[in-house]
Amino acid sequence: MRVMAQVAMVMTLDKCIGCHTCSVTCKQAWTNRAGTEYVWFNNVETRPGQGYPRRYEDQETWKGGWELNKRGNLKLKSGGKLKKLAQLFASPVQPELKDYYEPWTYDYENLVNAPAGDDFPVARPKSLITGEDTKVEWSANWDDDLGGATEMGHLDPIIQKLHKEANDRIKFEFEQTFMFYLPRLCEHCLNPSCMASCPSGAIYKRAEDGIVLVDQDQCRGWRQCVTGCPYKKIYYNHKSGKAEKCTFCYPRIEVGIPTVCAETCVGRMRYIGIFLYDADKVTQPPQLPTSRICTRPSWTSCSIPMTPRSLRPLVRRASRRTGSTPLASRRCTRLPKRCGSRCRCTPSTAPCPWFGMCRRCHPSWTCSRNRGTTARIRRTCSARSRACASRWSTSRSCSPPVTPSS
Amino acid sequence: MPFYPQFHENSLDVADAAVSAVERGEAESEPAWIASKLKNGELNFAVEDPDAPENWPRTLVLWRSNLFGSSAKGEEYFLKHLLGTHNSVQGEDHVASKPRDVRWHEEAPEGKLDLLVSADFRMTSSTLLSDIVFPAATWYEKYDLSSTDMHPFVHAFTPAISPPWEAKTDWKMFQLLADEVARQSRDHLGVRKDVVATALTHDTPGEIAQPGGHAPEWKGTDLPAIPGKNMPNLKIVERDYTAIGDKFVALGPLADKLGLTTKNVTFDVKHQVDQLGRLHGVFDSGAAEGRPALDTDQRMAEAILMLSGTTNGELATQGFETLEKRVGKELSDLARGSEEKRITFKDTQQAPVPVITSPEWSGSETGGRRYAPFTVNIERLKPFHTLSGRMHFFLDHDWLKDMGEMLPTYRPPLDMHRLFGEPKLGEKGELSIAVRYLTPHNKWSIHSEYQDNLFMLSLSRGGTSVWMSPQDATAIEVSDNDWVECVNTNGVFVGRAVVSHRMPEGVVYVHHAQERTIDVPKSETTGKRGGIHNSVTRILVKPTHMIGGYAHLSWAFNYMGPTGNQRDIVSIVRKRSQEVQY
Repeated sequence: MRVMAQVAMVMTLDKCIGCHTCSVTCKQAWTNRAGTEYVWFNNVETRPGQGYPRRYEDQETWKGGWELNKRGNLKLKSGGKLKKLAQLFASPVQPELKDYYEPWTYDYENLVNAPAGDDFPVARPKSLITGEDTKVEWSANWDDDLGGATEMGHLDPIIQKLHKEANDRIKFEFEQTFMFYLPRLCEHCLNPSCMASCPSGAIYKRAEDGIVLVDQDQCRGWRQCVTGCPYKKIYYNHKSGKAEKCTFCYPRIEVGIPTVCAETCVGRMRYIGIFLYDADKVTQPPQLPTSRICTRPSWTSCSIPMTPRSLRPLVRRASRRTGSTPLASRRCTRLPKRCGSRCRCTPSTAPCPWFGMCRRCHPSWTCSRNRGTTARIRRTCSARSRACASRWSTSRSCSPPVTPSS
Repeated sequence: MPFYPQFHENSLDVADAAVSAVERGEAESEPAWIASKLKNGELNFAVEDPDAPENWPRTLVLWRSNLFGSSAKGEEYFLKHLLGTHNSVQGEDHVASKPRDVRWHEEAPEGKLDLLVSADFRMTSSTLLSDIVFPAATWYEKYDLSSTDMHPFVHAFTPAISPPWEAKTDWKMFQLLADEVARQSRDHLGVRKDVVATALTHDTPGEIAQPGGHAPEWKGTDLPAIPGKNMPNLKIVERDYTAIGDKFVALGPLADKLGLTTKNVTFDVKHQVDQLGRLHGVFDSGAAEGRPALDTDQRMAEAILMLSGTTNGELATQGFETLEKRVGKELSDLARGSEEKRITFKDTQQAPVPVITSPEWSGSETGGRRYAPFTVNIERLKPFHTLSGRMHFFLDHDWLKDMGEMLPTYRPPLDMHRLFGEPKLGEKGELSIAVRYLTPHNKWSIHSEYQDNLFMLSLSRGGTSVWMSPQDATAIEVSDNDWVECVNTNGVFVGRAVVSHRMPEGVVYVHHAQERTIDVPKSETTGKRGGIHNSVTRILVKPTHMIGGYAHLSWAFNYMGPTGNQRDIVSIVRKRSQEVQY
């Protein structure tokens, strides 16, 4: 048993108001320069929605994260060493700029410099990549607040899976509206698949706090890390030719102050702390049957509304658990994603319909809307994760989404 | 309500005439003389004929305001009549609803304003239209104070850098203007007498001058016009225009002479004025001789903190003692412990400072409470500033009786089709449909501030947008991000559709505020630049909101007045060509 420390962030999604202050302050601090115009280390998505980059959770397409091989051991979904070597120069599975969005600016100068004319001058959009006039057709957060959801909501990989598995058509109708905001940043995984993907070994996980960083001197711009990350939270800087990612504001953490996103969060929904984990268990394959594993959420959210008080039992539980419970255990599902103890060793590529906000936004609520029947919930979402349902349907009354009519 | 200009003649001349008349023995007092002239029609209020050239506003100074890019409801009418420039007003005058008493001109005037001045740090729709633009300092380039009732703190703006290039702080801007106006006044104005007409104001005797809610007309009847009773208070004041600059940077004598009154509690501030004098020094000559200096923005902030009970415990205590005597309830304990506390500007620069409970406000922060209005009224039984001293729904004003609204009652949205010839709701045309047009606040801006910020635009739709329901979008064959136009009699708005099931059928949201500076193409309807979100709106004043001079239905600064109601607007939304011209 090797006890190691992981600095972690818990986000209570109840309190996220979708103001995007975190995105803006992070961008202003870290990615407000040439080469990173399209990069948002922290972004806030509206779900249902495609996310940023679009449909990043569709691991069948993007091959991010881990899966289990025939012998039940972890392997990168994007391929083993041989396959990676063969495709080293091709890097075939890459989101393109259009999957993120083509960054643009405006001809602000025209407002000041336009010659006398017969109409108002205007600042037209200009691509930051080509410098040409452009039409704005996608942004870093296009489907905010469910904009365009009737046309594109079905492209959300989770919604797509629900349509298939739960046989439950999610109705994008006024009376059935549900949504939540999902702020995302790098998970600083316990078993980072980006780190495992890097041919140069440029990515490392710090021993003292578990922060995952990219050595800008070692990085050769292979971009395997971009493929490897199932959350697409590592980015390619098109000017420097190297990979960049959220650094968990390590210069701030090192002097004892919070990350920029946490400090500026208006909803005060981010909590930073330390978890202890057993490093030896990290690369062990999960002990549970495949179907169980396949249902593990492969993406993140602090799905559990938590108060700071509940952090303490978690740390105790976490430290109690180390060495005694396999990492991908049933009980683990209770732990919030961001604590890091749920690393990206999730072999699952199937998104779990359990957004974790059962209390508020589960699509199955459309069926059991007025009854609050937990039974229905058990059948659909908690066929996956009994722990979830048993915890959440009993400890908090599952209340239907609040719509204007109800 | 106040109205400017006040009379159809220059109020400086009216004052001179009144003073002469009193000297000649023709009237007992200037107000009496003026009232008699108003009564017999030799003098008129300007509001009776706002379209006459002598009653037009001539100079408009926009400070901390983006009137033509944000707040001007009925923007296109502003452009047409106030500025006399390009506009997209689509409809005609509504002759059927001509007013009875206000003079009607067949041709509505266009271009009333002579001079439009604005101050801003970004190029807005207003600065684009201005004759003169003062470059302004931003928040991190000036000293100032900030507070709100959303939190119990007062804190400071402290500059991180000086305003760059020619930009100036607000304070400096006005101080320089004051000096310049003063300098030019030597030849043009000098020292003049002026008439000031003040509306019957809340918390003054004027609000109970006409009991029972009856307001019989004095104009054209046998009833006398009596200032302070059934018409505005009238007062003659002296204006030394050459001294404006000197006076701007000093605290005037009326502060110690009359005290400072808020909500009918008068604070004796002689001690505070004296303290300010010793703190900042007093002028040794000029119009402000002997008066404490407020000749920097920091000193101005210090003076505000010195003179407010919320930051000066001595005044809070004094105010509560005054109030206690009047209402007969225990109140001084609310400020107990803070009698000698004084929050200075330096204090606010260290950290936000919690304010002291003071009678200017009705909440209590005592003991670490957070502000809630009317706390003092509910818990200490201080009377409400209403007719009865209690909270009550019933109001007995004649106008409310006429409208059938002496108790709150439901009123449906106005029938814009019958009143203004807008299309009926739901009426379909070729790829168009008539819907309610609402302007809720934008998530991506604070009014118009930041709506041109690249981060905000990159996180949203990158330009003007119209939120609509899938049903309406289908009806006009519009997909998400298609260009559409909102058109009605008031004007035109061009934007891209955001189609979402969150929108109820029959309503579009064109958020406040969206200017015409970012990615706004030419309108297909007019061939000119599309408008702002308020190009499609107009203000509809509710008549009962004009009741004044009756109990709590009286005007007071920052208290009450007619709202800028534009919630009943109906507009058509139509699909337009997706090829746009700029």
